[in-house]
Order: sequence, then structure tokens, then C-alpha cells
Amino acid sequence: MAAALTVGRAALTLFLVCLLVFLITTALPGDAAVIAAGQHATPERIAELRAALGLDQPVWTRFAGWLSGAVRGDLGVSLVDGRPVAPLLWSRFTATLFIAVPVWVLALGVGTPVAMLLGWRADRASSALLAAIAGLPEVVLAGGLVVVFATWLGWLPAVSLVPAGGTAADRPEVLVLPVLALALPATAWIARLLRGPVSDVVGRPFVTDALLRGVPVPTVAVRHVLPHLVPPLAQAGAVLAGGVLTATTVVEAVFAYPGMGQLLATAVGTRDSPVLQGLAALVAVVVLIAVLAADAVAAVPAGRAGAR
Amino acid sequence: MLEMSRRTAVGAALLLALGGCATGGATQPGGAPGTPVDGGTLRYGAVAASGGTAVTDPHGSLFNESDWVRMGALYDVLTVPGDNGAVLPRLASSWTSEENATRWRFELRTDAVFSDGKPVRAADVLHSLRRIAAKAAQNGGRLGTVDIDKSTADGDHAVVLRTTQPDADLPRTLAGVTFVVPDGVESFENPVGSGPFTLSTMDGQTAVLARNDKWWGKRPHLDQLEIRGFADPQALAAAVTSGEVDVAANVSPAAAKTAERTGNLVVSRRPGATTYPMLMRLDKAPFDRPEVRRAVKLAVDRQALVDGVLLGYGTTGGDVPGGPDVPPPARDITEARRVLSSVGSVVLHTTTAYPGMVSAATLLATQLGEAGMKVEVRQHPPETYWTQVYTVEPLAMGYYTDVPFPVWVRQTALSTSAFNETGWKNADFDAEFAAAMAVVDQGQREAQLKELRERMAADGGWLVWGFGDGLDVSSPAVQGLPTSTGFARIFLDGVWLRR
Repeated sequence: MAAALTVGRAALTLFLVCLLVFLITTALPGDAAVIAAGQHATPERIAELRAALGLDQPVWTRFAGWLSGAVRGDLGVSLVDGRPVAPLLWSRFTATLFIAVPVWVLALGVGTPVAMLLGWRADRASSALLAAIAGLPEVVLAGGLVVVFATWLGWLPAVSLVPAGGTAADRPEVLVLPVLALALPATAWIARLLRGPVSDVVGRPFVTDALLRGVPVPTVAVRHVLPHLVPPLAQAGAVLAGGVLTATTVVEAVFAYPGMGQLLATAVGTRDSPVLQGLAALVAVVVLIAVLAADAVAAVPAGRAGAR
Repeated sequence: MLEMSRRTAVGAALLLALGGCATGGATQPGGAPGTPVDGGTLRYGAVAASGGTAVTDPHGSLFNESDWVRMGALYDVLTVPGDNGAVLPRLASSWTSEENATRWRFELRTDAVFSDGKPVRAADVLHSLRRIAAKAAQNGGRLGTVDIDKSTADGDHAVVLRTTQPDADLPRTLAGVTFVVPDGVESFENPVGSGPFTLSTMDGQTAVLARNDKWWGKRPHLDQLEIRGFADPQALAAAVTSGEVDVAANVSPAAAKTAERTGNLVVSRRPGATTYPMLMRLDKAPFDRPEVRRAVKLAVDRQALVDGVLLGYGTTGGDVPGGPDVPPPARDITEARRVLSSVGSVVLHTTTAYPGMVSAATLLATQLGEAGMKVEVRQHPPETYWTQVYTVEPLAMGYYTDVPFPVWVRQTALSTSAFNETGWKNADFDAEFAAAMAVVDQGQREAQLKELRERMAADGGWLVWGFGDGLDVSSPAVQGLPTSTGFARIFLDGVWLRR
């Protein structure tokens, strides 16, 4: 029953996200026909294109049409080149995962120990530093990294070009700078978020007790502190999953990396609503799964913590 | 074709950083120095601003410059643009016109073959032209005056095209855009063309093409051509600066200037590629008064605009499209002020569609302010500008690419034009233009057109202050990049790499 309710709520959220994105796309000035027809297009040509693309249909008809296709797994065709959206989305999504997954793993894997170190002995300087790094705009950071590692040192490429027909796996060095540009602020954000909970746990009797018993600090950190961080960590991981997927837009543009973020930017530019809808649905699904997983993970150690 | 607005300044700053310390200016490649050598892969970067993916249909909307270049490599076209308005044969070996240039006969080469081995015949050409005509809404009416329903194939190696009106300039209108595909083909995932290159691999951003040794033309020097689309012009500039591509095509003046300052990149210029005119409506106050239009033309400092907006990559213009051969009036700020100081304040509308349109508007407003006319610049997003502001407001910025002058006239300067950007509606002009377009002799036709252009420059509402160069940034090894105007830029079969 509870599971059915959860799934129902997730489905409703997904529906609302798709509807909202559709309405926002419709509300943008201009449509795909105006943009495809170009500057010297006559109103007749624009109308002709609009009819050909089905944009002359009422908003609700178009949304219903998209939705009825989407639930059957048919995401429609791009308004720009008439090709199916689903394979395009998939190839861009996997390309973005080459950046997003390492960023996510690094942020959690490095952010958590940093939070432990800083939470153990809270000081204002490190707190300010974390806030500064977490607040750095990715585009500034990316520009700085390019100057240092590509221009001055010449260690890494300034743009992340992937061989034709290949993936970033064929040329892994192109991933380093984009991943760093996203992972640095994400790590700082995780560390900042978890530092408070770490301080709380460290101050509790069972930790003091363990330390007095002579248990080494690293062991205390892993065995006694970490389990209590799982709920906030799971929540942060879920939020981060959505955050990283959207933040790649900026970094992909800077590095000319052909991922989902660039697809989003160009689809907004051309008002390619089927592509935008597909992207929104895909990101929403990822975030929903992450949130549901976080809830499930958070529910487990809550029982154990009481026993401690 | 459509480009997207970008924050050029940021790109320029990034490029400056990328370039590191400047070490003197680069040289312009005049003629290609040295003897061409064979071999190598040219990595060619171009803007793909609007396409999430590369477009495969050569006859529909080609948003992306990278798509145009790929089509030019894969497919043959009837004619290509040459220097100074000339038209050169390509798949069409020769052409003649009859009946006041309403009936055109294009003789086709007999030695062209598609990559599947079949010969290129008139039926293939006609099929391709029909597809282009059917997709007129998507491709901006690429066939111009051609009446496709009355056009026919004559045997295997000639097509006879009829036009809806006399059009002695038809070969130039068609230059570079009539991509020929095999008869009956409607799907282009595995393209079959008769151009200088064939497709090896392709994904959403990059196409790798190999030299087509069966091509009829002069054997291309390059073994391979790698065409890469960049969604972001700044990333394109960064790619050429860091050596990830050999050519960055069609960059902004700021990016070209920055590249030139690095000292290890070359800027090649194609004259007259873009124009940002100021458009005064003849049917709206205060520009319905001829003396006001004249005073505006006297007030502006054209060289300052070329230097400020185009960063020197261009020439001053004489208030009519079609080239800098019509001289502008000498600047006379005293006379301009006499008229303009009584005009009051006006709004100059512009859009962020192209960075130059905003900077040109701002500089024009300053210059006109110095001549006593208060001008307020108002910016609009590109999505609404062309449909709601342009051709509506009394004073607005325009944007021209280097389409042939007659094509431009039909689009916007005839009484019958679908939209007339300055309200230039003149039955005498229409008649004289039609008469000129029936003159087959090129010299005589151009003389007649020039007379019309001089009249437009003097009386019209166009302030064509300058012509901007098309700018390609490349590594010094790249030789033989196209330098002619128009679609000549997309044909790369003459490029070679110096070792």
C-alpha cells in the first residue's frame, strides 16, 4: 500500500514536471516554426511550417498527443530535423553520465571525509573556505582551470572534443577538466552540508566513550560516526544527482562537450519542444529515483541508530 | 540560416587568456604561398548553434554552418560563386538563357558519378531541385524565381529551368545551394553524393569525410576532412586557439582580433559577408521626410563604425547593399545638425540576435546624438524581433548576409515584396528592376542595376554604413581556404595543409 502510494506520488510529480515544462516552452516568445523559417520568412511560410510541425494545434491537444506517446515510450520526433527524440536523448544522456557519475562519486567520496575532518574540530576559516568554493560559479572555475591546465601547463585539452562516432572513453583526458569544474564546488557543498551533522555526532556520548576506550580515531569515524551520517548523506546524494545533471549545461558549453546539457541549451534556442519534453522527463525520472532511493536508504539505519 | 547571440566579450576575454602573451600580428594569406602538397586531415570547426544534432537532409533547413560545409563536400551543385560576383561552373558545365532570361538551359557534365557508381543525370538534378522547391518554407525559398513545375530535363545531361519572371542572374542565385542527390532518394542517413568527399563516419557533432577519388574535379589535396559543429562560438574559438581544430570558420571580429594577437593563428577574410544596416521607414515620421534621411546619412562616421563594430574587418558602404562600389556621401555634421536638431528624439530598435547589431546601434546612437538627434537604443530578443519590431518600427537595425543584390531586392524592396523593410514601394523602380533583370549581358545589366542602387542610396531609408568581412581563423599550415563571397565559403576541395 505504502509502495503504491509512493509510486503514485512519483508518477504525479513526473506528470506535473512535464506539464510545467510544456507550458513554459509554449510561453516562450517565438516557436520552432518562426526560428526554422529564419529572418526573411513571410507570414505564409511561417504558417505553412507551423502546420507541418503540428504547432497550429491547440496547446492541450499537443500536450495530450505528446503524453499519450510518451507513456508508450514514444517521445516523438525533433522539430528541427524530424529524427526520433529517444535515441538522441539516450546518446546525450550517456555522454553526460561520463561527467556526472565521476562528479557524483567524487563529491560524496571526498566530501564526506572532508566533512568529518572539519566537523571534528570546527573552525571558522575552513567553513568560510568551503562556502567560497561551493559558491564558485562553474563557468568561472572552468575558465580558470582551462587557463592553468590547458594554456599554461599544457597538460590537458582546453576543449573536450570526442572522436567522431566515439565516446569520451576513447579519450578520457577530455573529461578531467569538466569533472573537476563540477566536482570542486559539489565536494565543498557536500562537506559543508555534512559538517554540522558530524559535529553533532562527535559530541554524543558513544563517540566520547569509544575514544576514551582507546579506539583509534579512524575506526571511530568509520564505525561510530559514519552510520549516523547515512540519512543526510543519502538526501544530499539525491539532491546532488539532480544538481549535477543540470550543472553540466554550463560546463558542456564551455568545453564543447556533446552531452545532455548542450542538447538542452540548443533545444531551448530552437524551441524544439519534443526534445525539451524528453529531457525534462528524463531528468525528472533520475531525480525521482534518486529521492526514492534516498528515502529507502535513510529508513534503514534509523532503526539501528536507536540501538546504539 | 540562423545564428545565435553570444556574449562575445566573455569569449574574447577567455581567448586572451588562452592565447597567453601576444607576440605580434599574424599575416593575411594573400595567394597561397608554396606549392600545394597532398595528404593530411583538415579538422574544420564551425558553429552549429541551433541544431541538437547534425541535419542530414541537404534541402531543408540548414541551421548549422557545419551542416552547410558537409553538404558542400558530399554533394555537387550546379554552379558556385566566384570572385567579384562571378559564377563558376560546377556540375553544370555551361548555361544559356532564352526568352528574356525566363528559360534557362544548364548543360551538365557527363563524367560525374555518384558514390554508388551510378552516373549523375538530369533526372537526379530535377529531383533535387523539386525537393528544394517543395521545402521552400524550410530553406527560405532557396530556388529564387525558378518555376519548378514548368522545369524539365532534356535528355540525360541538360535541365531546362523556367522562371516566373525574367531573371538574368539565376545562375548566381543558385550558386552553391543546389545539392544534387540521386533521383528518388528521400533519406540521407547514408548519403550518396557526387561531391569531392564521401562520408566515413558521423555522429551528432562530427563528420569524418574521405576524399572521393571518383570525383570529376581537380583531385582534392586532403585525404580527410573532419567537420565539427560547436554549439558555442566561444568554445569554437578556444578549440582553434588550443590546436584542437585547424580552422574556426565564421568567427566574430572580436575572436578574430584576439586570435590574430596570439601571433600563431592566421585570419582569412571573405569580403562583404555581413552587413548591419540601419533601416528608416519611409512611411513613418520623422523618416518620411527625405531631408531627415539625407541628414542621417551625412551625420554618421562610417569609418568609426567599421573600426568600432567590425574592428576594422570590413569596408565602408554607400547606403545600398550589393557592394562598396556606390560611394557614401561625404560627412557633413553641420548640415546634418541643421536638420536633425529639430527632429526631436527617436528610438532605435535592435536585437541581440547578432552581437554586431547591438554595438552598431549603440555607436550610431552616439554619432546621431552628436549631430543633434537624440536616439534611444532599445534591445529585443531575437525570437520576437524579426516578426514584431523589424519592418514595423520607424527606426530599426537590420542584418544582411551576402545574398545577391537581386535576391535581396525581391525579398524586401519591391512593391510586391512580402515584407518591405523600409517601405520602399515605387512602381517605376519595380519596372526598371524587372527590365534590368531581363538584360542578359552581364555588364549592361550591372550598369542598369548600379543606377538603381545609386537611386536607392540617395533616396532610400537604408543606412548601409559598411560591409563586414567573413572571418575564418586557422593555423598557419592551412592553405587555400575560400576567399570569395557567399556560399563559396562552404567548398573546401581546394584546401591543403602545409607540412
